[in-house]
Amino acid sequence: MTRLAKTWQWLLVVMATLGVVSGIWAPGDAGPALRDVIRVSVRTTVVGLDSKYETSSTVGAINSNVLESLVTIDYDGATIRPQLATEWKAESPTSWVFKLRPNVKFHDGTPFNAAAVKFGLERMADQDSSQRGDFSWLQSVQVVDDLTVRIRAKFPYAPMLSSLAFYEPYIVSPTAVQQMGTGFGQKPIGTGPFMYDTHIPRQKTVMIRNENYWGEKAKLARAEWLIVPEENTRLAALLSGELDLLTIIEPSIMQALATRPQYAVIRGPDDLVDRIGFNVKKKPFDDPRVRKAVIHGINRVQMLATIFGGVGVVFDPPLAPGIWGYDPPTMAKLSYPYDPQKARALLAEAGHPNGFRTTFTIINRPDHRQIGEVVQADLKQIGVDVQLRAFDFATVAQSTRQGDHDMYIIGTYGTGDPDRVFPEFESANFNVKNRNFWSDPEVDRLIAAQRSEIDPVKRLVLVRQAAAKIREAAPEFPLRWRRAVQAINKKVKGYRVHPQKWFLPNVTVEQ
Amino acid sequence: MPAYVVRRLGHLLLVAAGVVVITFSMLHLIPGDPALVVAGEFASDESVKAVRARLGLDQPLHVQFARYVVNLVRLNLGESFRSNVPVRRELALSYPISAQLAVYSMLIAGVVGVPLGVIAAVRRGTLADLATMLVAMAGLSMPSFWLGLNLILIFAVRLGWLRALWSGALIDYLLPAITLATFSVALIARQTRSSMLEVLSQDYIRTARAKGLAARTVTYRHALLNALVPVITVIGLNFGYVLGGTVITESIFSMRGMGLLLVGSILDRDYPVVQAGILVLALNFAVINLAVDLLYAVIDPRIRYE
Repeated sequence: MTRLAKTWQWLLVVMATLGVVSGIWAPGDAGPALRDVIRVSVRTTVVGLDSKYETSSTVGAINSNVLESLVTIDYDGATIRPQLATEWKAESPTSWVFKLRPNVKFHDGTPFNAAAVKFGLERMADQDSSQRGDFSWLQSVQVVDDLTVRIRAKFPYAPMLSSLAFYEPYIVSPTAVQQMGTGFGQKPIGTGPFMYDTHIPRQKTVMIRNENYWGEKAKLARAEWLIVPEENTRLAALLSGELDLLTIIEPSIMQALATRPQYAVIRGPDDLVDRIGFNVKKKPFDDPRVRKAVIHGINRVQMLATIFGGVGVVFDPPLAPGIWGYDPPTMAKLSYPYDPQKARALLAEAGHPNGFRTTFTIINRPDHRQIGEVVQADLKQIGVDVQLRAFDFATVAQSTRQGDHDMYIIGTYGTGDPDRVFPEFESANFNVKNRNFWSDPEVDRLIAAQRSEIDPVKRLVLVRQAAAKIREAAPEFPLRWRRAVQAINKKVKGYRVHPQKWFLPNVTVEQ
Repeated sequence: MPAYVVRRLGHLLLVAAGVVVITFSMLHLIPGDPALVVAGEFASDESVKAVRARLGLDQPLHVQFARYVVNLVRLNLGESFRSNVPVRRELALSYPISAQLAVYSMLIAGVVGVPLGVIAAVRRGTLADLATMLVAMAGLSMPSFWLGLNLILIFAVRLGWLRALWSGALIDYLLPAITLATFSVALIARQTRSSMLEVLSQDYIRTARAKGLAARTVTYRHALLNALVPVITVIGLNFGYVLGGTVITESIFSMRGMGLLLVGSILDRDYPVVQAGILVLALNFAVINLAVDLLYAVIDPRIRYE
């Protein structure tokens, strides 16, 4: 045996001994050591955090760790659970009484009570609130006693509870709002398991554990939300251990992680739907046959596979499978499958045997450009010549509001109450939620009727009638109901995908 | 010289006035309503109207402009439409990041680029010259997103020496500075080489050599110092360019510098941030140009400013 080999042998013995000794001396608990911080990437820029002004799904998902509402939605995207309210009951079709959770304090020490609920909800319906439209039903919030409120609606309003759960009317500390003024948006004060520590707009947001939380306390001491605009940098930072969780990922990252066992790609229901609408004020989209021809002319199933990485579900307008009232028997087979022949026939019937020229307004960003190119190529096959008009968000938002567009792409909701989607088909919402400018007196009536129908069985009938009429008229069509796809380091335990929240209190991270 | 500086500072005020007018009118000319961005895409018409009133956008344009100018004279930059944070704070967060990035990348570029150019010029036509210029060519052609990502993959993911995400520590500037410097190294090396070649062919260089001075002294004392004037112009211009925000590099390294701040604010139609940001950058550019002009006189005593 050579001298070198001998040395190695000795070294091995020493190391083995050390290993055993350290094993003996290690603390008794079996589990691996835990880190007290998690780092999460955010794709889009976060500027303000006050849900009164910020309606982005990103801000809402971050806020869900810090701010709470009377009721909240479970991981399935449908079940409504108590949060700051413990129980509730309808007194009449326009009035509900909520019992509030006792002994809850805001992060600044202000007690949570009926007055705070009144303040928080009425704030959402303020003149300058971005959520005003979603709370236009709200008549008043009445303080019954310190831990009881009565919420009144202006008309019988079936989706009231859903409104409170889905639209994030967070109950915030009234004292903090009054004292901090516009600074409140940089550090909202709520009752949640985490509280905001520092927020650097457009860079990062740090939250720390709320030691006085009313429920089970967060397991992590700290969570950092970092804005990382570049997809490839997010992937690199996950691989280098600088990030533990990527909240939204593209198909390319899914592929890159497929061969790396230390990471997992996790999925769950998502709240978002991508859809394409027609401006029916413009010719030739005033003709339903032309609208149907276009839908038949676009291969949505193939588009899902090629540009969305197979993530999501293709469905018929107007209600996604995650929405209450979605009608499986009639929806199992697509009403508007890819059928270029039928599309051409419909166009000929409508007096456009040689097709026509139109424009498609998109936001100038990669995913929209991809969708635009596929739509352009598919429609070329049926003789429709599509010109893409790509602008930034501010320009598109304004021009579609004014009705300058022909076809356009926009998002809508994929879970919860159908009344989150129906306003897009009401004549009362022209310019605002209804950018198709399509309406039908019968549909207006059905939508109003289902909104006021408290009996769920009767309501379901109305919802399906309205949906069937809208499907038949086809003023817009969905591309897909998204699925949330996120990437985590497997050291992260206890995290689950939620359609609206990036919820961290149950999460631990191994060293 | 002092009179010259005062005159140039006067020009600076003119530049500022021009920038104020042009930025204001261009921002208000492009489509897109800031109130709609702030209120949210689906906000009701009355919400949008309320926001427009709160932001003062319901006033006639000349009133808005007058208000802006009066505030500016009082050094009040206003508040961001989007974040409600004082614009001064938004700039205070972003400007130092861009400034540091600019300084470090120009340091790297100067320290590497000038000697490369000198070597290439002195050994003109040799393999060293060819190699240097090839490297310079590669540096010019390499897209920053490709280079930046590869640096991250090598140094953060593979080796684990540096961070992929910028966190504000000095060391975190290294990779973005190298990414930016690569382009400038190439520019500076090429500029140094050509002006060195010109100087090296001058009579006084031959005289210096004939006197028996060491080659080193001739190259660095007599030639380089004279060749530096155009090089400094390039460095100065490049510095202003880097400071103006390098959106791609900032984006790859997740740095909230002036580039990302301004692009984000333009997309959001955040008028106060865009106006102040562009004004600051324009003044910066003008000051750097002035500094470069003054540096000429320091380097080359033949240059005098009256």
